[in-house]
Amino acid sequence: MSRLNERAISENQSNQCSKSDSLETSNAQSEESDLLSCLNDDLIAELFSYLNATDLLSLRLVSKAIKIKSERKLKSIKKRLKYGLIPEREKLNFLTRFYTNVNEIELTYCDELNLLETICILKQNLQQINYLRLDLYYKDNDLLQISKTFPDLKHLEVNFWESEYIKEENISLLLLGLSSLEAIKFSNYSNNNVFISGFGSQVIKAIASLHYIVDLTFTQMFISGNHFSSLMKAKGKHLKCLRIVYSEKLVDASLFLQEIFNNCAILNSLHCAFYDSTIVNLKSVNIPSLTDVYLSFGRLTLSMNFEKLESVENLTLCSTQSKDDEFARILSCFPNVKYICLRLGYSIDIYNITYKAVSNLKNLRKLKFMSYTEKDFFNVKEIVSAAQRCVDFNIDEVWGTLSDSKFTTLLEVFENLANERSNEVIKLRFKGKRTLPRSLPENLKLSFIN
Amino acid sequence: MSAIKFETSDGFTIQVERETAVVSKVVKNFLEYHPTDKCTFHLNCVDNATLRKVVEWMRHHKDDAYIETESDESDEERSQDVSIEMDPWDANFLNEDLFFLLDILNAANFMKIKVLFKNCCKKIYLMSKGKSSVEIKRLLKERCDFTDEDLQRIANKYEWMARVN
Repeated sequence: MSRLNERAISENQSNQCSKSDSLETSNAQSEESDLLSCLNDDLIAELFSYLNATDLLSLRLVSKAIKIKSERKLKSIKKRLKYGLIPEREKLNFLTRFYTNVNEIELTYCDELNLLETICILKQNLQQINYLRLDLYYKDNDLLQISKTFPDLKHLEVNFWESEYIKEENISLLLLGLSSLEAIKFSNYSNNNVFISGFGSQVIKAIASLHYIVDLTFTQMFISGNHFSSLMKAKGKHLKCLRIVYSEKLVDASLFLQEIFNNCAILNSLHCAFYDSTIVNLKSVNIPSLTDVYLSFGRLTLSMNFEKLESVENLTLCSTQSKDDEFARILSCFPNVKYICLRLGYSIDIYNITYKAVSNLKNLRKLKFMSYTEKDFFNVKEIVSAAQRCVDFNIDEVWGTLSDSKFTTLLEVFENLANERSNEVIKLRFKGKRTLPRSLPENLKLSFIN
Repeated sequence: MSAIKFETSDGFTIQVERETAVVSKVVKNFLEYHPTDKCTFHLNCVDNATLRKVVEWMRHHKDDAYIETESDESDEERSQDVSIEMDPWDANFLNEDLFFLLDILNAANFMKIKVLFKNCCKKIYLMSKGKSSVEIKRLLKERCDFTDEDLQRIANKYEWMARVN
């Protein structure tokens, strides 16, 4: 009962607050304080886990007890430190002593940054750095210093912004100094080839010499077919994760994919984005460990003896020019898939054979449609009704330009589905907030995501 | 029809149909190991008003198939972006003052009602996100035990700690 009384008081108080702010603060302090004290520490930690770092920082100013709790949470969630744009030695020193759990560092180079001093402080205060991301405008000497200071690094991510500063041999020296590396991520954001000679033999040799490497990502790194083949022959059999992204047409796409299937026997995750490229006559043996596949292509045809990839559970397919039977064939090679994300170009000509292939996927539970234009949705209805065991749908309309009438049409598809399958709960996620034209069937749970 | 009773910390007893009561994982687990038609659960830390509110929620959601499975929507989904997806009925239902919400949160935790617990967290999150420390202080009715000097010192760091985040 005392709780109830207190609540009455607190309601009373908040009524007064609206009249006068100053009165409220004094009331709060004199009559009742510390609302959170009714919760135990675990619950408070759970509540705080919903807050982002900025909110947790605000909490530091509330009271001593809450400062301690919010700082504990801050330290535990802070794994990565970004540094460089506004370099200040004293701050770096404080931050690296405060966030003792940090083991990932992102360094962005700027003119005032003293790299030697920076990595000294990092080395001194943080003992467990295993991830380093560099946004490169670095000078070549700096790179050697990095491999000397962090010889135990496990993950290295290098983003190339300007090509003229980088000599290929220095990147390969950097790699050779980091013999514990497990993951490498190279991304090229400049308009040119990173190295005048392309992604050359020295770097490939250096990667091939790394004993523990299991995870490779190349974004817009121009590698010749020969170099890629020799990399796959050397390292393919150890790789668990491989991502290759090109935003332009790649002539060697068939060769690349074939080399991957020929060599990578223990891969878990494969991500190949060869936009608009044509891949022909792909052969494969089953990779029993493969669970995640992302394939983006113009057209992909499979050879007659392409083995099914039975272990794949998550599949993303983006295609702009596939024919109905080709696309159906691809789908049928992933018989046990649980989650599919589709991004179908409007030019794609996908009809009955594909719907049949979708209905053959016995384990499919989640289906996502990504679209850039309204036309991408033209056969959502047929695909959705073919996915008879699917209960979780996601419409991700990337630009948020879908008209209200098209939204209503799409929604109708799922209303009908929910009515037909009235004993199941159908989940539907939609990007962006919409007003509902009418109330939905009870078993259709619609939610909007940002 | 069998009925389950709950006894609240302030001495009230509420009778609840079995299918409603088993929304609480505690009740469900108990009944699985001790099949019985009649039993009373003593809720030491849940008062009458809170329990009535919680039971109202359980009654509304007793037929939801997803209540059980919701927990496999792992935390990884949350960390990407605290998606504030919430059943509109729940959002409206939880339009209460913070004090009451904390009671409900405690009760949901005690009775192991995961979805209600999560939704309470989300609601409290929505009330507190983006607020300044002064506003939060007011919201939590927390007594500030810092000296002005302390506050100044902590606040000075705030600006650039926020920047690295």
